[in-house]
Amino acid sequence: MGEKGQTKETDEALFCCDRLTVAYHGKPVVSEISFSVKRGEILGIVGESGSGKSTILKAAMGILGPGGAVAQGEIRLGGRVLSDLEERDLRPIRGAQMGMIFQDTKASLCPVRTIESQIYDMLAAHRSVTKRQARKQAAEMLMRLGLSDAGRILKCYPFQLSGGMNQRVGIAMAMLLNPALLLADEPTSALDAAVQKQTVEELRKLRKQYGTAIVLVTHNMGVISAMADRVLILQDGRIVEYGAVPQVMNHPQSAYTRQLLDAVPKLRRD
Amino acid sequence: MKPLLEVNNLTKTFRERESDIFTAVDQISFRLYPHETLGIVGESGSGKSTVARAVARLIPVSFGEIFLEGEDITRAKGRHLRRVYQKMQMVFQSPADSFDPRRTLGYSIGESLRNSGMSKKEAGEQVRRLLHQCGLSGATADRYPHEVSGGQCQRAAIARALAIRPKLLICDEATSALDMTVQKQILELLRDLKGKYGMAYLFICHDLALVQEFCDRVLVMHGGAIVEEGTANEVIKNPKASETKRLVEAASYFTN
Repeated sequence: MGEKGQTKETDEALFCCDRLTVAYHGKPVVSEISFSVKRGEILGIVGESGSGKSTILKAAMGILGPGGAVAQGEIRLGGRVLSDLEERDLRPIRGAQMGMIFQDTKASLCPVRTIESQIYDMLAAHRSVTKRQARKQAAEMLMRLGLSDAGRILKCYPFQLSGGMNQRVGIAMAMLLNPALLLADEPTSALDAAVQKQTVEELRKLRKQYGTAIVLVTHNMGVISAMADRVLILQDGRIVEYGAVPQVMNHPQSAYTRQLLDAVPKLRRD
Repeated sequence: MKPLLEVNNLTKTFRERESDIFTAVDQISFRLYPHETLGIVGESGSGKSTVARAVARLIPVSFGEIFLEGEDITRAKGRHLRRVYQKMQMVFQSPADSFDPRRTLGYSIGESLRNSGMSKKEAGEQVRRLLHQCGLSGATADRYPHEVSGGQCQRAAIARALAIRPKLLICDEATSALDMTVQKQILELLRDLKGKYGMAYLFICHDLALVQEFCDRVLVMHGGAIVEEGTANEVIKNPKASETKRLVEAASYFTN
């Protein structure tokens, strides 16, 4: 690929990592990671525990925690280099331009306040909104995610909801600000297959409607093949394979990818 | 053949408020034979884990009976229950939470051996053998739960469950939190142990493909009741209950 081609890809990319190395206490956890995501594209990042897949998302959000830092390379969203920004400058971007869904939404919600009041606070932090407007928007988004009794759910505390309900509340909260990019860390892993299917379908619908780009981190190959356009396979902090989902699933090039695919139990229906 | 485990009309209710009674498990009956792997599947909230916990005698039963090798263990406690646990052990979903964080893995694995009268030295050697059997190095015995990975910790939990050679191992989502490659290794280990020691498994799992691969028979639960049962292939290839059909549809969405 020539110089020109590379520039063009960077221009089109909404979000990209360029030779990203993240280290904790000077020890690299992910090394030389490069990828780019276009508007409306879903990229899956797959790897086993300890492969560094969540670290990439944390680096983008600027939540690496004590001892963690981007050691080399950069992370860009739109035209801005996220990895150079101060906490103060990152704050308006987080949520509004770059939403995040965690594996365990319940743990990230306040246990002693209702869903409704937490959604209002979240919206009010980014734009001017009344409680009534917040409630209406939240209810609409929850309905779209298949929660028909949204009114009741909004009045509930997190502990009164099931895991699947809490998880969809988390997705709704991330989507309400209509971010251009959604970073999702094992968003459906805590859900059973039926709810998982519904959530995956909703995320696909949301991306179609709003053109949201999604970076999806998971260890579940099934979710990748059902949802992602491209996939990046990570092992010990390095990329071992990167390509279109059908290509990687049907013709894996690396032995590690084959090993991962082989380990997935297959349902035999005939 | 006499069943290893027999469960009759097992019912478990929880009192939510003053008058609200929630029936988590509603009059279920099943049998598990020696050398058999029986799966329980169902969506979250179907009551499958409650069955596991009731059979393992971790929660009191509201109604019904549980027999292990013909012996009524429904209300076993104290010394009697300790004897029951020599035949029946359990592995949970979250291995790190099921170990005492202040004790080494070796200490926890050897506890049941020392309790049954084995000397410290003998128990130590046996622990190392168990660790090897579960694919871990002997040095793991000196590690604390937080010092090992989730997969290693789960193998240690299996080693602990196997220490006193139980006849029945209850696995409640024992591999759900693990990486697929680690899950595969653990299942190979369990299969291997079944062949060697003729163990039986009660395997609670939400992954139908895994159940099909690993279980002989399967019970499908919904709303606390068994809605379908049969061999794993019968149930998955030709589901009859609408709840089973829904599970199979959802599972095949992710496995193509």
